Amino acid sequence: MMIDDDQDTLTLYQLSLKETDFSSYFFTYDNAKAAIAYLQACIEKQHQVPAYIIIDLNMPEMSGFQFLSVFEDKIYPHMPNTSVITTTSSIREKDKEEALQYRCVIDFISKPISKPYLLNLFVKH
Amino acid sequence: MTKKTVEKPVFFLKIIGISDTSHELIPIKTLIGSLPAFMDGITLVISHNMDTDENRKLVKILEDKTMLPVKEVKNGIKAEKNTIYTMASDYNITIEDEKFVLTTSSQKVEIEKLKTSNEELEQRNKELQVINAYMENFVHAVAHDMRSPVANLKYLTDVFASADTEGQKQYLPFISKSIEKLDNILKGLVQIIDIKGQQIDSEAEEIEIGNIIEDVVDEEQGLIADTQAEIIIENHYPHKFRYIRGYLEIILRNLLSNALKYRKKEAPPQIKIKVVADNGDAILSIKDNGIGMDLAKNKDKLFMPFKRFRKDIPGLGIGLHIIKTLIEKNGGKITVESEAGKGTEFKVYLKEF
Repeated sequence: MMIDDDQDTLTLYQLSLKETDFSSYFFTYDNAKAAIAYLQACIEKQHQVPAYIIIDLNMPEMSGFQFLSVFEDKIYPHMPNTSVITTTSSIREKDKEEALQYRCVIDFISKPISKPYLLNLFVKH
Repeated sequence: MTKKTVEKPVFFLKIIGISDTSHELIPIKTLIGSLPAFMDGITLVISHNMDTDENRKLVKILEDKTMLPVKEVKNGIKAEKNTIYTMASDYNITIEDEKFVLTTSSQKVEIEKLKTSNEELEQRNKELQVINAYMENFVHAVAHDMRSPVANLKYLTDVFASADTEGQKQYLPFISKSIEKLDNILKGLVQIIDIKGQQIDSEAEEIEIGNIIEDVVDEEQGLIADTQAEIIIENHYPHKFRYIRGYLEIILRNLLSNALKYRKKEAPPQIKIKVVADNGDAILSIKDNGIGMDLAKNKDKLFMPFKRFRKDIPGLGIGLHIIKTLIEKNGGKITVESEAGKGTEFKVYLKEF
């Protein structure tokens, strides 16, 4: 699952994964709040949860960090096998340090996330 | 025995009016090579005989290089900054009573010194600091905003290469979109810099606020008709207002356009434009019944450049930033009240120039 406030970015990634075998496993949200609601619904209805969540740290309304805080607190306990990968267009060292502090976060990547990296995630899972 | 007439060389007397009062006599040929010396000061060109070809030529070169006006020294002259004064005669220069006194065999000419003031310097310094801080934040915001489309373009170069012709065709629109975003940011940048650079003491005039409101509303007739908007104008400002017409137009245009853009889908926009007097100042308010916003979240970002409120509503995200800059140029301010789902009211406190 990919969360980013820029719809063009989301559509671009979706398009680039279209011909792969994993396209049906890749879905996107353009705001963190809606993503949280979805994840909570997954828990309640016992649906399959995403193995990886890629989130942009810099978003208006609910930011990536705010998402991490809610996620780690309320959602991660129910889906401990889900890992979060944080991404950003900023170059601040502070952001990287802060993001990696969260237990659920396994990586911090500067945008753009490369296609090989994404494909690797799918293969690993 | 031949009598040789020795021409006195042409000298340049530099008088700086801001931070320093010094007068140095420098050969003009030397000075022509150092342009900055002329800025923010007064230049007095003294020659034994201004009427010789060579001296005239030298002064002309000075004039051309600095683009400053040339005036002749006359009795009782009050010096102006950034001006070249010429004077032809024998001379003696003294300073008396805050004046430069040039004494010749036949006349005495006094040039009033410009007042120098530490306060002026301090004020200028503060202004520069504010501008500097602004510029830093601004450059940061712009650089950051540009990284997103650039990141997308990077990704595109990656996937483009390995795609077949069909795939490539599908990627092309994304390339255009990213480039357009970058272009828009640059356009917005130019706009903001242009506005920041405008001099405030140009073109302030006595204007009729009501007329300008009507003009701007007329301009938007197309969108007003399309959205079936109702515009109510209440002008309670009793007389003329001394302001820069262009600024007020930009401010009104932006606020009216926003009020129309951020309308509710289910209800035609109702926009009330009101002007009242407040101790000579004018308070202009634009109130709409549109989608409103959660101020607790957005208040900080509202007036920052390139912060778009809604991505599905077109715009560069610099309008509010620009008008805030204009309003604050001479001491005014802008406030906003809003409730999500109910509407928004912008209040502009305008000061006269």
